[in-house]
Amino acid sequence: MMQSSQSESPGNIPGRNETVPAIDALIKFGKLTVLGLGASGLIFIGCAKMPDKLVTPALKIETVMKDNREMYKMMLSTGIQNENSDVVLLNVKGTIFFSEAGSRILMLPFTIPVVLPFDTGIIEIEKVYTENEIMPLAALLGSDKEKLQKEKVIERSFVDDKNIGFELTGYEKKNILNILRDKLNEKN
Amino acid sequence: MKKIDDSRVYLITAITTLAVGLVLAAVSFYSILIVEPKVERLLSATDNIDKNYKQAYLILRDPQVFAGYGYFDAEGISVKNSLAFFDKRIYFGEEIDSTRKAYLELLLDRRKKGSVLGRNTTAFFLILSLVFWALFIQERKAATQ
Repeated sequence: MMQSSQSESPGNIPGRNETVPAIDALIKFGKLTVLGLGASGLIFIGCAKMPDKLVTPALKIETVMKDNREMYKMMLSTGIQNENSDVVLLNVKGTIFFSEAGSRILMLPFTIPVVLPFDTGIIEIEKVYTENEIMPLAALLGSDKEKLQKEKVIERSFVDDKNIGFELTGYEKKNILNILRDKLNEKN
Repeated sequence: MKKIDDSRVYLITAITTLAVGLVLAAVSFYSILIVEPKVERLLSATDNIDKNYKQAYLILRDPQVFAGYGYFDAEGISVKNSLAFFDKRIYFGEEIDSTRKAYLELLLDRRKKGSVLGRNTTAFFLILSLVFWALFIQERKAATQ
């Protein structure tokens, strides 16, 4: 005798070939809830917003004497913003680059130990370059060798977004609550 | 003409709204009855202020579901700034003294507003569920007649 497939359904009452709609609906609801929670969990993992622009980059190039040679000291001050409410960025490593017409003319690696939520990780780079190394950057900033030697300094408070950019090469993401709990436990 | 039986639709909607209402009730009343009084006790401490305030902040740092820290309007900027301030203080091991109580109360106030919103939304879902249960029962009665 052929057995009814309905009798195997959890919504059926044994011995009766009748589906209880409440039980069926509850089981369906349970399945949908589990599926929904799983899907939303997957979406939220790795959803942290990463910094995508430099905060008010300020650049200064000045002439200095080093080993009786005229060199050029470049000082860059900028930052990256962590706009996440609950994600701490740790050991952030990256490179700031100056570019002209798509080609990179100077690369500056940086490291920030920690950027807390809603905070700005400050980047301050100071480096000495030779004339050949610095002149493409000086030209990008609208200067040249003669101007630089005459004025001894180039200062730019706002560098055009087209000419400066950055890329992150490594970072760790951690939840702020875990970090703060660890800090308090460390202290106690 | 055959009458369409809508009881399944009513039943599923009634169960769904009831489940959502119960989840929201659990979350909101947990905050109202357990979390908020605990934070108030910590903030009313008169000794060991640094430790008590930091404990209170850790509780407040985990936001109420209706008062998340992801988005801020102009009024919420002070909350955002408070979070940045206290995160730094705790991360770098600096002291939190009694002059900062107002900023912690600001975070508590946001949490309270969130749980009140949650409580009201719970009431909305429970009323909605009641309506659908009534429709379900009526539809079943009509189907059996």
